[in-house]
Amino acid sequence: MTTRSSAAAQTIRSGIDPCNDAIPTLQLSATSTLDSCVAPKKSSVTTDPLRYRIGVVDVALSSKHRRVRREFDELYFRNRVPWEGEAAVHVEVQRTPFSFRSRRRFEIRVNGVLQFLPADPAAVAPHIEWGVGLELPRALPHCLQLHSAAVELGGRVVLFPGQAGSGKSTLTLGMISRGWSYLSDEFALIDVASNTTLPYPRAICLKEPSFAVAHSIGLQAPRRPAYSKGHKGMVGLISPDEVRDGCCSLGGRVSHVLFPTYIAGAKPIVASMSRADAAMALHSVCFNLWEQRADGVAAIANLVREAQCARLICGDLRATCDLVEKTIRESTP
Amino acid sequence: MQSPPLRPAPRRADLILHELDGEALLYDPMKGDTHRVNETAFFILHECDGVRSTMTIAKSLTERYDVDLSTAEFHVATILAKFDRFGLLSPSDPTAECNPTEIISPASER
Repeated sequence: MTTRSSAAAQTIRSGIDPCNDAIPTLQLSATSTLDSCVAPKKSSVTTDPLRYRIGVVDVALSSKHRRVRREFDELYFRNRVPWEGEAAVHVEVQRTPFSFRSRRRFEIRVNGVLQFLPADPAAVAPHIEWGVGLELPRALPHCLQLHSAAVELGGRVVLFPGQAGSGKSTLTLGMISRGWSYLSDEFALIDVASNTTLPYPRAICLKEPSFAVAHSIGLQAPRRPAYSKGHKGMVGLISPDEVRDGCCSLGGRVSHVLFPTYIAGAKPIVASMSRADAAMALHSVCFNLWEQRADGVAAIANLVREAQCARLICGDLRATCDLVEKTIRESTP
Repeated sequence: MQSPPLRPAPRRADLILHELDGEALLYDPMKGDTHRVNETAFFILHECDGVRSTMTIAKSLTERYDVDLSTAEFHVATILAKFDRFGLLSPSDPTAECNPTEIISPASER
């Protein structure tokens, strides 16, 4: 009870929505984080883990570094949840000890396993995102994890599977800005038993050149590229709610699978493909097929049986979004 | 190319096939491999029951598709070699090729 009343007191002081009153432990940490943005007093920094529910994925972040906590919290503060038991994915970020011989780095541990050691503070947030992604097959063993974006319109889920650079994220941003709902950007989660797409509305990762494209069609993507993602260069992480408030979807069955390929200056085209071709293409972008084995292959087969599959040549973003919307609206449900 | 067995071994019983508009996705649970099988290869795989000869399969292919017997024979031989390479057929019975009742010459077939 003592904790609860102190949490409530902090809530009033920091102006957080009173509905969070029922969040004892998290409230303290969340309030401290917000406080630390306003009044960066070292004594107010807390190391309590921050807890989030990003779609179906429970994530906890422990770090005593204010920048790490602030950057992640800026992206996901809408997803904060009360602390209840262990999170499926627990990310810990700490700096390596000072040494004269080597540069200090950030140790990023995911569920206790050291995954990344970036030296640049600007590289921490994208690596946390990537670390969470790596842990998804273990955290959600009932899900097929595809390298794909997923959006939804009127209950019809459309997947954009593809390798890096195929245009998934930019296209997703474009579709959300037109009123489509958002499910996920980098990792589409397909529940093997029900064959439905589950939401994992992580921050959308845009590479530097795509920012100009996003701005050119009037997207509200205010943040400049601020994060370093190794060989991919500078990237921007955009919370989907920054693009359109309340745009996240609860998931659904896949009605279309469109495999995007970005070709600069190309006229957007939707080209049909056989279901077997689509199945093999999905197979090549599946992160955890080895764990899913026969069930995973069956899920892919069912997915392409139920959905309409096609290749999508992407060029100008506006024209590509027009084409995707026309294709989905004109197809029979 | 090595000449195909006169009576191919049956397809492995544990293979998992998912038919997709005539083609198929084939999962090999032993190796964890997935194969995409096109329509004719799927047909030939179905015909590999350990009883039908290569020539019988080729003839069935000519009945189903617009293809002459020699082309069909070539395709069956090619596909059987691939099935063999990927280990999709049961280990062959060494006596199978010596079974006189299954040896049908191309001439007699015509």
